Amino acid sequence: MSELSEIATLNENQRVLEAILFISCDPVDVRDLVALLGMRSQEIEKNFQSLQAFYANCHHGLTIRKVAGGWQMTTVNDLADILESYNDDIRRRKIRLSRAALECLAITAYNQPVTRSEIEDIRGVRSERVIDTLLSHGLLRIAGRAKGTGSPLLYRTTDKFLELFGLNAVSDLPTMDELEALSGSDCNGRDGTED
Amino acid sequence: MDLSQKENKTGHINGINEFYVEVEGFSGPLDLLCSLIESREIDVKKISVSTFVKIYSNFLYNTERASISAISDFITAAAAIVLGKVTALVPVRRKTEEESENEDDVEKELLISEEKLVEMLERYRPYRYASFYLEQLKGNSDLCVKRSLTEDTPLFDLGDLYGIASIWWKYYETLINNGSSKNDPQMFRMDGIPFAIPEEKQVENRMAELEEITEEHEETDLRSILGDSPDISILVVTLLALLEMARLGRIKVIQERLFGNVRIVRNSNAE
Repeated sequence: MSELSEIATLNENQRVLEAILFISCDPVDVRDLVALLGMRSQEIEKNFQSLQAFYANCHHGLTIRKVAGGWQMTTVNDLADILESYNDDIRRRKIRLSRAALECLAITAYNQPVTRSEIEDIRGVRSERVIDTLLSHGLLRIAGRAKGTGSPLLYRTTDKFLELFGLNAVSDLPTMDELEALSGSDCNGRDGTED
Repeated sequence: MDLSQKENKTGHINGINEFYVEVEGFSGPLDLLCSLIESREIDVKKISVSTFVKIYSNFLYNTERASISAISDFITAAAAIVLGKVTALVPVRRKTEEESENEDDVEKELLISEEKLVEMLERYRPYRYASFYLEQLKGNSDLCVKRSLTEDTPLFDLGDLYGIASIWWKYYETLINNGSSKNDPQMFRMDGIPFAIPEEKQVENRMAELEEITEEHEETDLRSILGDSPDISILVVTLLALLEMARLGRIKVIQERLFGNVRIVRNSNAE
């Protein structure tokens, strides 16, 4: 990391990657660049990491982050207020998720592939409409049907889900035990007030 | 209460002197009588309804105050007395101990036990924490703004059949190249999601599963077949399969009481 932090200028490959990130709306998958740049994926990955360190050390208005298995250029988080004031569209673009929607996403993320009845079984309430909303937002996708009687639809989270929550993979989520520990400091207050 | 007794105008009716009773809060003697019966101050079984009807109808007739309203009140009150008397006279069937126990069982089944509720909450709690965690992640992620998509021009103009056909052909090629759909194209929709198995096929599959169960156990019951939390579709398919198997004489389906568990007994006479 110390080597990465010493980068003062970008090499030719890093400049290309920077330009690709600049024009891309969705996270850039390294595999899509292998043929284009004639480089091995590990090499491209390393260049992205260097680029990420370069932006982090330059006190830049932009940052490079790894989400949904790809690389993405975004603005830094401390400029959010001023950017929202400058452009109303940024606020409008945000997806608002209800508690029910967040619970459905959490259950799906930790148990995928999962059926609707399994989600409802854990939540204890009907969740058909919430699932439909999440499907329409592209945060859940249908991932086939469960074998056996009734052959219900199976649901999985999408790359858009990972992107929305700033995750690189579902495995980045804390384990259930870690959540229990985190809940002691962060969630207890809200848990108590909402119940 | 303000009671006043008036002199007899018409003499005796069946040996009983006619008298007027006016009580505050009651529209007539029968209304008062109904109230006394309802409050169990008078035993309805000891009242001769026919005598009272006779007395009151004579009272209405002789006083010349029999308005439609008074008659309707009389009919309502008389009906209430008759109903009370019938209820009092018809013997009440006492519930057997077994029936009482069965009712208790049904009530217990309807209520979620405390242990089950605690179990459900224990299972739900981590996901609630997870939803809070996701909310935090989203809040942080929302602060980073990415480049937004500009609205693209459509890939084809209205009436551009070549454009539409090209997109369709590309889509079709993707589908053909998809390995899973190549194996059994009838089983998959265009988006790669398999179709639901037809209901009759599901029933057949379920019958095969039930056959295996009944071969292993001579007698079983619906609850154990369905498990703890059956899906409605599973319940429906299972019931249809059971009915078909019963029709074919392979099993006997017995429900000894309403809402009770359904026993499934293998028919040993079946081939």
